Amino acid sequence: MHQPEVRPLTIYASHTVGPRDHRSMQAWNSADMHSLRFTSPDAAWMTMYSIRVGVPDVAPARASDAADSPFSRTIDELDLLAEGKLYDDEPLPTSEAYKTTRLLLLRTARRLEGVGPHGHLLSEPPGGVRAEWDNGPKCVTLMVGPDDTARSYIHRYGSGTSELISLSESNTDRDLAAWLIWLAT
Amino acid sequence: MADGSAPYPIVSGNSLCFRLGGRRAWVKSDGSPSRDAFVLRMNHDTDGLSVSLGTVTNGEAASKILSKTYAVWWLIVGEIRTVGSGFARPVDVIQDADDHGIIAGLPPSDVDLLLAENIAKELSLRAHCCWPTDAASYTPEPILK
Repeated sequence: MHQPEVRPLTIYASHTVGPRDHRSMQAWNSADMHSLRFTSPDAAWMTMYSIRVGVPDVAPARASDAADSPFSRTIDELDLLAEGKLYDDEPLPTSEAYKTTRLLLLRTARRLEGVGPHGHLLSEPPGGVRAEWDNGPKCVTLMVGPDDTARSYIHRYGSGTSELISLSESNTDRDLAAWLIWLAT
Repeated sequence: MADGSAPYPIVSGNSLCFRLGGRRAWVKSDGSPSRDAFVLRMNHDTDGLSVSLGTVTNGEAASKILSKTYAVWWLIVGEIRTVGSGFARPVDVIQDADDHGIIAGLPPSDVDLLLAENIAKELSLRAHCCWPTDAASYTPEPILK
């Protein structure tokens, strides 16, 4: 009998600061509800918490909030890349690189509330994944190595900015989301 | 070397050189190059990035050099040198065969990742698709097997 794979859940917490100011606060990757922490910079303004549970981090289907956004198309194309269906001559990424990239893109999509630019995807031999976002002279790059011994990073460049952060050193989905917003402005 | 001993002359700054898109994934949907096409890898590109020049004078001719080419982009040699100057790097185009040269002086990504990525962006901005000629409508659609 097929046993479903146990996957971590993403738990969203959001709060209402004012009558028209509703925003996503934080996202956790946790299988343990007890690890949730609620914080508010000013409890006096906080009127409501809501929690949504149950979105698998590595979902088999399209999982960004805005299903037809350019950013979610990037996630779809990552799936095709991993299956060898995006290009006919690219080496396949390793399972580890694929899962790491997909999880990061999903988390970033949620931070962007599903709205973000389309990224150009390609393999990074041997077995890595590279995603590129460009807007005129500005660019953002995500590079995920084939395993945890390889260098994985995000990079941005343009308009006087030049920065590179290793995936292991940062809250990468937060930084990637912020950089994609920077790219668009 | 033209005859195995004499070096080729310095390539004129007004000359064109052609970067070949030998990977489908290097061609973006608007025909422009992925920045990955301009990242030097130490274990793969020993001396520099290959370009076609000299007897190769157009995209059509350049497209016939490799067994598979998905796009050809032209760059002006002088602009490549200017990119190097902007990063205080002696980036140059050096001819090493009648129809071939290299973009030399690029930092390998293994050595200076940030600089390699930054220069790749600047080079990609100066690369213009000239083959296929209808590059604006050239979209490498996903290959559904």
